[in-house]
Amino acid sequence: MTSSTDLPVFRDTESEQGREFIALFTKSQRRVYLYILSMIPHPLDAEEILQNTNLVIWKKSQQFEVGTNFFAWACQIAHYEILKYRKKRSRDKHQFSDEFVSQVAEAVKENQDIFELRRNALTFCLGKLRTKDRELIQRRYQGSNQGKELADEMGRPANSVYQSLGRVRRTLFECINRYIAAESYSHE
Amino acid sequence: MSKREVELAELALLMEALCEERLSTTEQMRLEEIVLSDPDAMQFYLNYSHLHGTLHWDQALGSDAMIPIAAPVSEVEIPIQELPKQIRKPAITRRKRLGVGLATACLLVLFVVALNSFLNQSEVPNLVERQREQNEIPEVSNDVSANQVAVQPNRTRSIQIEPSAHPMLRTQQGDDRLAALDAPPLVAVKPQQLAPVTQLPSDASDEAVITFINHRIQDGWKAANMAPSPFATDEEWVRRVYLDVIGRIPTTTEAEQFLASNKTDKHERLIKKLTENPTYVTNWSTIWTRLLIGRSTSREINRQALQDFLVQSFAENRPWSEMVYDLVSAEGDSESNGATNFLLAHLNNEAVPATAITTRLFLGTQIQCTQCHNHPFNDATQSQFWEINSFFKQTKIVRSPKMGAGGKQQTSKLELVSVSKGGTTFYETRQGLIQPAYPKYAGVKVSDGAGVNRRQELARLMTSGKTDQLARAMVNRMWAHFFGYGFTRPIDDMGYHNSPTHPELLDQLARQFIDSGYDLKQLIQWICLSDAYRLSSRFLTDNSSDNPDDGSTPNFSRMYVKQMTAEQLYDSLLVTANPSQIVTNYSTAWKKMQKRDQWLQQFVYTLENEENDETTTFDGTITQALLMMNGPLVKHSLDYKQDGTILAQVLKERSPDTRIKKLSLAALTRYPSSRELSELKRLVKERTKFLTTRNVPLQTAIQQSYQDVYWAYLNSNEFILIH
Repeated sequence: MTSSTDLPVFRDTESEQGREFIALFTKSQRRVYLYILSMIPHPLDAEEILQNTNLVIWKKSQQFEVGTNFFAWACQIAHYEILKYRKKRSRDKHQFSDEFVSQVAEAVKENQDIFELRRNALTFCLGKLRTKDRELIQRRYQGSNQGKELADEMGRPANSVYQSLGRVRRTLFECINRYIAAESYSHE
Repeated sequence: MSKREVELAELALLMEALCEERLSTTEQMRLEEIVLSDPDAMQFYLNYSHLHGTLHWDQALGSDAMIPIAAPVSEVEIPIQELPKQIRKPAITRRKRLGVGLATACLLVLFVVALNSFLNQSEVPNLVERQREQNEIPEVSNDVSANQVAVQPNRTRSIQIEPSAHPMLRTQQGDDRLAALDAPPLVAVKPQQLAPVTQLPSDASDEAVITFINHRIQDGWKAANMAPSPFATDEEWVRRVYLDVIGRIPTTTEAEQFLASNKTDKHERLIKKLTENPTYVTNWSTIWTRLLIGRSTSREINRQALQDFLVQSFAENRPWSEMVYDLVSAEGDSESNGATNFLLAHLNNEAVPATAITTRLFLGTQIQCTQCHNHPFNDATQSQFWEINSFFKQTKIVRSPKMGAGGKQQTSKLELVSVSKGGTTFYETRQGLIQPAYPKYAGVKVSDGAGVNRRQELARLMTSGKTDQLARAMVNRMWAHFFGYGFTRPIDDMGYHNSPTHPELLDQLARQFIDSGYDLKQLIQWICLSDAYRLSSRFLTDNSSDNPDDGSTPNFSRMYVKQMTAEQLYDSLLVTANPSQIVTNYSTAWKKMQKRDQWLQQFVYTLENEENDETTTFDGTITQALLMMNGPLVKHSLDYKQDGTILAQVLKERSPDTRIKKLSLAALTRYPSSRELSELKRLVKERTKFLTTRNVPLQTAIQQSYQDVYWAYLNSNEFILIH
């Protein structure tokens, strides 16, 4: 640390403001993660960016004004971390274009409410999966086994595992769509 | 299905690949294109990404307490089991609270978007810098700009091809780069579709074919509104043609012989001579061994037997169609029939690699992705993959132990056998249905009965000349070998989704290739004698946009600079050491080639994927640079003690001028320019003086100084590039 202003200034967790900050912070974690992942489609890299974002959020916690939009504030910080990451990987061809990232960044913020609904629907739809398919999804995502490792583990050809994973994800996706459609219908 | 539905279906496939991080660069570009073209597609993308991310978060992070700050989250995070009703309420109240902040955020993003489109092609660094002036979070952006200094954006992947570093290009380069900045469209206009006015008769003379090539290439220049570079010097051309045809640089004697000749048809004569050179056979059999079974020596097949088969075929200049027939229909054991080794290497995993490689190498068609689903961009269907795959289904590998000396089992012998068994191939569709596939190629169905040898049938259908795809693929591949770029990019993905840059030329050359009886030497002569192959690699102001490296369409208005392959470099370094010891004849070359292959292994990595792919780090990496600077090969070339080496001979010369000229000719196949010469003489003088003050004997000091000059020549970009 070069100067005293660089020192992280933690909110007083005893105060009411401090407690609210922590509540907002923890509650926004998943949503910030998903925000990052929509632009950086690598789960592990997205986690790293989230970590860095969190550090900045903590460091700047004093700058946040209680009552304003925490998620938007956090996204702004996350967005800079994303740009930083992209900058660092600018040689990597497997990166989305600037145009794409900025369009997605915009769209993703408008969809927060829909995402909440879809997440709840997912819980329901996971429950409706055949046991075998649910286990596959669990094994894929727990510890984030990629298809290739998963295939080795299960002793199945990689392609058939990719295919199965794709099929189950599509099933989930369509189930969520149906669930949301039915929900909005029942509310009218 | 409507166009939009088709695109959404395609997007679904691309998203699947994205989730498993298997998306290729082209596929990624397609994904972006679809998402940005349609709000529905954007919604689809966001929802899919949200599903993938939520699964990841809830399964991997949420449950395992792996979250960055774990304790508070488990308190606040809503448990998965809770039902929708309980959550929707806070979500709605949150919406109200978030309103203002969200609007600000959106405004900011809008600003960024507007700025971005205003700056047209501005990249992230610009974006960040502009934002910093407007922004409320100064510290973060400071970090970014600090980063910016450290990481220079560099889009050129290979350090060797960077034209400004290339001495041959440098003179032109500076101005052109600036000029290029002024002219925004870097993507050249595609050559216009030309009416099929000229069509070559099947018995066209060589001259007619070459003229036809020249005309079609000129049409492309006209359409793109560019002028070609002038012809290359004879020095450049002779080096180029030696490297491209026999895989090494010419020796000093060979080069001087060509340069001194004043026959008008000396170019034609040289190409004829080179295709008859024994090294032609060694070179092309090596190229095709690499293509057929890769560089990695780990597989338990008989590489030498395969190369022997290829050597014999190239030496006899057998028709390409016959060679392919033999490779696809080969039967027998890996030793007595070398051609079997191609399929022996790829029959693993349900013959999926065999299917993919056979179509990719010989037919220039990539169908590997249709293994699991219909092709998103062309009309290839999943069933077609398995129809071709079923041609390989009778084939079995029989393994028998081979006794080594002393009765100890050393290796197992492999044998490729077709069993006379009929039957159907089954595969799983994306819906989870099991479907049957029957052997079928280009619309011709082959009986799946037991008596039919399916691979023979496939080989016959591929080479029958009924479809010209075999010829088209080879013409395209050969063109790319000599020019660095083919008529399609990539050269082995030639479907209708990837239209060639010079369609008439490709058609007619393929036709002529078939009519010549698939004569490879003939094809090489046509290509090498074309005007385009004679052009200099220097940019002009008029064709600075002809730079396929940055993604624009190749117009062949100049020679594109190619990097030597590892094999070319190895063999060329042997020439620069001692020309009297270079190997020409394959029969004595095998042992030396084994040494070369061993040397190559340090660059080769086998990719663990289903197409048995490989990659090398031999593409301008640090490893390669260090190897050039300090490796034993270059050291070998710097040997002046052994009699007969280039350096030893050069040091026998009396005048410094002759010495430097000879070194330059040996390394770069050209004489030094007068400035280069005087500069190098000065350096030699100074170096010698410096060394003698350090008590090095004068004789040794002189030797070491010239050694340094030679080292510098061998480590120049000009040496490692085919220009």
